[in-house]
Amino acid sequence: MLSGMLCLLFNKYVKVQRFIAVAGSLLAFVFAVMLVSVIDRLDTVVMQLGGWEAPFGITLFVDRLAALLLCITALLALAVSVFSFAEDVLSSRKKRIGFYPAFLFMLAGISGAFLTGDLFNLYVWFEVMLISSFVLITLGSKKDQLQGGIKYVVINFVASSFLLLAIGILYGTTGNTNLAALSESLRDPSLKAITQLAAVLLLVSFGIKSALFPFYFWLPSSYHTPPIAITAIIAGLLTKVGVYTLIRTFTLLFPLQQHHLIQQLILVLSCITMIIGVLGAINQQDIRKILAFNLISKIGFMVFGLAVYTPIAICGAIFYMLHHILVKTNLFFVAGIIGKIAGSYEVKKIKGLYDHFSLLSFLFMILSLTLVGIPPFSGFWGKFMLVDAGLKVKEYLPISIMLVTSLLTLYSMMLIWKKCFLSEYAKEKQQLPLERVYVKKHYHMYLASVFLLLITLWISFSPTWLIDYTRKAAEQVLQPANYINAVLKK
Amino acid sequence: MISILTGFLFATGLYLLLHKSFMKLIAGVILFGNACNMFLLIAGGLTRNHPAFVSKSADAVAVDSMADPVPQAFILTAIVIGLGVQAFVIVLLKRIYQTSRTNNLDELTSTDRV
Repeated sequence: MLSGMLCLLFNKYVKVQRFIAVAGSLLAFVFAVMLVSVIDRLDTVVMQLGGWEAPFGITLFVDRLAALLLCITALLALAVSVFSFAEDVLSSRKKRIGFYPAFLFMLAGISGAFLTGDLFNLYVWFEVMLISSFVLITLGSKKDQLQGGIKYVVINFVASSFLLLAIGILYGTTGNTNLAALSESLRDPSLKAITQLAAVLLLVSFGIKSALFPFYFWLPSSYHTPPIAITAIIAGLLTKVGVYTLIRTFTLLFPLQQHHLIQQLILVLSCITMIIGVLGAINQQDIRKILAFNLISKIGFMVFGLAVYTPIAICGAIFYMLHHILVKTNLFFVAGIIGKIAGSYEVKKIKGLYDHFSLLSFLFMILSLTLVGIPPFSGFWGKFMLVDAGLKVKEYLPISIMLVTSLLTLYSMMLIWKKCFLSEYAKEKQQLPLERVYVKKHYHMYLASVFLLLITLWISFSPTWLIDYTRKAAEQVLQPANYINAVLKK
Repeated sequence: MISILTGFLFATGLYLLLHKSFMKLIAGVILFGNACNMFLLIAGGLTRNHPAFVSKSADAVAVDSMADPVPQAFILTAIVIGLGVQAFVIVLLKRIYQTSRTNNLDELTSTDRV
């Protein structure tokens, strides 16, 4: 089962054509769904690569959290491949240069990062993912892309170096890089001083990757530059890999109940991230930048869940992460369609979309409300769990920051709505095309968007099973002993 | 001695990374990457004069005195990855120079404006 999935990851590399990309992501999705159901029965699946036993060989490990994320990654891959079918989303030159190989490499990197049970292997997967995302971001070499790209490349290079340093320290003190074995040896209190150093290095490294305050600067300056299909997948997934590794690290390697200082640090950082992100969003004029800043503030939400560190909080964080991956990618899709129609992403230049594009407006409205978390949409459930968990541990200030942030997010989204959709369309300008004609011409874009929206709505209206699943995932994540036993076969 | 050298490499690498000039940025990336590799070597524990080979002639392998091969394997991987990133950075900066006609990182602000 798992090896089938791996074969898939490795086979993907050479296949360039877009149909194969879709077939690949579809297959990956089917496998991932199977994996989710298998995990539901078995709790964990472990595989040792290369035939070496656990602490020495490379371990692949899947639990509920990883399975869910793999599933959603494959889902997004599918949607993005469909979206990028649409003509002139990517110029043909870009396709020739190799959007698809880089795209699939990146997905392989992301899936690998979710799967791996070994810190050094995680580093390797990170690099696979990052280098292909470098390629994606700078693909086509427009001036803006290059300028945004260099910041992204350099800061991520430094982040990876920090990860490497942390690996060096941990290997030097414990002689292991296997996560399970590490977790076991790190419980030794005599190592606390040196492991705290490694923990902070890991926090910085993953913090940069997930755009946590104060490491978020690279995100808004690079995310909006590439074509929208690329932005959508990168924004949807890459930062979430950072959040995933944060959750993994600080439940398994450095359980936060033993590291109160770091817990406080993460809590404070998450609060500042929320506020800074949303304030940045209000200030921006470019739809893509507004979305990018909103993304930062939502990262704060997820990390807040980690910082609270109760099952319900982690559950909320995971749920919110899944919901956010879907919604954010979809919002970027919609932004892409808007940009295609209006020829610009500047809020001021786009006018009167509602008159002509009712379907698009509908999509945008629903997605905005979902993003903000108006009941009954999926954002609400995640946020509800987070707030509930926060109240239980009496973190009133972060809770209030979170609610204010939601309100401001609503404000920033409604700003787009008011200016771009509801305003009068200037008659003297060139007439906008009819939506019916437009949908026919660019049905791939709409198809991808509506597809993701349906899934979001499905999660919104029947969240029970997913909440159930994430709750179990959270409980599992908070029991590192299970992980260790499963990997080391005790 | 090697620790001091590594510290020095880190300092230089970081200093160069924070420069405006493209060339210094490249040098910074290279030095910083190498500093990390050296750090891995040191953190893994240095063993002198005992390479991580098992010789055919020796009957018993003296595992205790042998250098730990794992950090070396890490470094090898990290060097390869670092090489890729460095090459990418160099090409990227060349393209930036071609499109922007500047050698100053502070002038690359077109994506940061509101």
